[in-house]
Amino acid sequence: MTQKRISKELQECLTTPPAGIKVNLVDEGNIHNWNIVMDGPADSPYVGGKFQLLLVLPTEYPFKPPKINFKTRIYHPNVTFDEHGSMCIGILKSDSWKPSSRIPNVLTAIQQLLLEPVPDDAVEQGAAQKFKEDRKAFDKEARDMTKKYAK
Amino acid sequence: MEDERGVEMECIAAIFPEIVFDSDNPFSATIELPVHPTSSVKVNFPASADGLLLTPPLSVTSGQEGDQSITEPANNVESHNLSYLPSLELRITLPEGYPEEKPAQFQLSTNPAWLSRSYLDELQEHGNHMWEEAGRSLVVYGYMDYLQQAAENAFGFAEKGRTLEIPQDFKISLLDYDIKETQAAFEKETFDCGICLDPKKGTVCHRMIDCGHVFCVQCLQEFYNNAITEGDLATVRCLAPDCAKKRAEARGGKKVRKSKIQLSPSELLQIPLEHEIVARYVKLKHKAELESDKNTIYCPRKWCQGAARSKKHRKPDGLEDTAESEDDSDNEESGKLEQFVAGRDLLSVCEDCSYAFCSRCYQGWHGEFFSCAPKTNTGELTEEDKASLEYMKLHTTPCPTCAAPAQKTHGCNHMICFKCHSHFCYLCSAWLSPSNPYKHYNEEKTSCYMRLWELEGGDGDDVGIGYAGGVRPVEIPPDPQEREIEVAVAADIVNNELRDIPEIVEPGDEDEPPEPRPEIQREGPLVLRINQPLPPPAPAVPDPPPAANVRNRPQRQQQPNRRVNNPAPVRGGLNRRREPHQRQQIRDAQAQAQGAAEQEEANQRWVRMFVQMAMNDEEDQLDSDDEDDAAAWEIPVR
Repeated sequence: MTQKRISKELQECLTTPPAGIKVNLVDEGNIHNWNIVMDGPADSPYVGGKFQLLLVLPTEYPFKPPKINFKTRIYHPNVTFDEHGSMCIGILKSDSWKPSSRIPNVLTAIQQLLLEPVPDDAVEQGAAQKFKEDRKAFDKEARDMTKKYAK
Repeated sequence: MEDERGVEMECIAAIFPEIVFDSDNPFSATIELPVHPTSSVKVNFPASADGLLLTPPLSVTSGQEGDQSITEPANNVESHNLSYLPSLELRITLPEGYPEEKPAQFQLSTNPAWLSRSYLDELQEHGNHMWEEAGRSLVVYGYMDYLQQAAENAFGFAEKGRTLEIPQDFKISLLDYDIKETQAAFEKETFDCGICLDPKKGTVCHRMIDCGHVFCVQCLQEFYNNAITEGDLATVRCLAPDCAKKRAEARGGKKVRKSKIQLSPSELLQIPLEHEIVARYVKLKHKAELESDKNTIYCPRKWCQGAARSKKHRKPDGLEDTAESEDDSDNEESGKLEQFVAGRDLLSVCEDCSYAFCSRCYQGWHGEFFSCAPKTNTGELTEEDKASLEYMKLHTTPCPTCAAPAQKTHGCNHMICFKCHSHFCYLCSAWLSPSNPYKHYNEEKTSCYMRLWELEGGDGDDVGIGYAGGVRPVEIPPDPQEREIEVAVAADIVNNELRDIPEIVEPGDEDEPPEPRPEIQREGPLVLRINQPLPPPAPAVPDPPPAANVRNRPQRQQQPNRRVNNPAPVRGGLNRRREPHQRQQIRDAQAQAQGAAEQEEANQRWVRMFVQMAMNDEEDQLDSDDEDDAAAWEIPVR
């Protein structure tokens, strides 16, 4: 079931990917690891950047949520600014994950997060503070980091 | 001339292939017209007029109805919304001379007779009107079309505010018909199961009773069997995203009780799940309820340890739903007040083995008038209990609200209690605000600052593989006034990588050698906390050994206290665990402290040595009982 469902979702994401998102397998022989390239959304300081994410689908998928991390560094209140690029987003918490949630939902939730950071739920306090107190400085920093890392 | 009747009947038969012609008369036929109104019909079933119940009483209420119908007939009327009503049977006979001279004969009936005879007569009469109005021409198709349209709003009864009254006698057959037709229509449909994403026939699907979402039976079985086997009861709910939330919103923001979101045992049986699995679900739900209630008393018999009978959490009998029990808690309380007798509330009866015992002294029941002493813990634990307690101490964190132990399998340290849904920190067990749980990791004053992702790979020998605690580079606050640096010392972490070590390097000045400062406190195995202003530059510390060396180091004992809140750093001295000998020395040194600068220098030297050894992973040698060895590490006191 897992394999079948993943390959279906993969098929769908390959043929009609959500806008601004490209999907391919990290290794053609393994459908559990997806390489995602997400364009920085327009109207966000990440515009122009190409962000790589790694999506890992567990063997229990879709009963257990996928794991997703930013591989490209990103300056964002809700993503750790390190090589892990971890996020705490609601849809992926095991108690709110539902087996009928789909990968495109997850990806669009992340796009949404890039458009609208949630500073009150931040994992990067510095970025959150700047976002709240000096939006211009935050945008500049985010743009600079996008230029630096997300080319 | 060709008989017009024959032509018309042929046409009708082409349009309605289900029509049945009489074998002896080609101009006579019957057809059933389904009654499936576009919106459901509200149907009342008043008791039969003569008070005689032809159907056997279904429930207590229907039994009472006969008695009460004289005094308050309106009260016990049951109302149902039906989507399907038994079809209307139309009998058509075209007599000789139709259509010019004689009208067609229409006869209507329903089985059971849910439409009154007078109303059916009216409908029949309408056929004659149509024939007259159409100038005595062919009217059968027009009439049938009229009937079908009338059926679409159940002959007017489906309109808002109207109810259809049907004698009680027909209740069962009508409800039955509705259920059967609904099911038949469902089975004919095709659904895309949201879990396996395959299109499935309705016959192998299940529609959620509360919310109407449809999934295929196979996926539901797999998911719920898995969840119930693993004891993950909270996920036994509708599997559509945001389903509960949307329903709550639809109800005007009123929070839906958790038990209402969870599926009922009867629905699980309908899916269907195995009887044993549903029984386990009911049992676990009951157990979780008992465990979340601090007042639950357990049977003192070692082999039993069941819960004492309680009205609040009634032991499920068979597979009944236990969720409703909360409603009668009020009654119970008031009942208690009325007949309170000293001592009586001590009597507890085990729901499993029926042992009657005293809930104060845990002895067999001694009557109400015996003064007993509360039982003190005997402290006798089996080896198995001890082992699991030890494991729990090492690899679980209790919920701050209900004390239920949680073991992390992966992810960040923001936990939500499986039992009481409190948000808490896995590292220090602190309660976290559900609105902003991450604040705890973002405030420098907490001991968990920047530690959200510690233990990301899970906690425990058997959980996860990569124990990632401390791998994440610690960011150092640039404020020079408050130098508090948490250095992740890799010592206790197998597979940890050396890249933590360079974190000792001063921020912003990477060419400088590590600058350990005199105040040190080891916080569990993970963290070295260093306080106080910068001392003058110290001699360079040699490079750490190659990483391979470090990875090969033996695993050391894990300290269970690593998540305990770190005490405030001790000022003016060293506080190292596991070095009693030296601690003594230090205390002595403190006592005799003269010339603070000298001592500080000595301390610095020791710290440098310690850090150096930590980097070489040799600081264990500090623990050595060997006097000579220890002497070499003594801090000289002048």
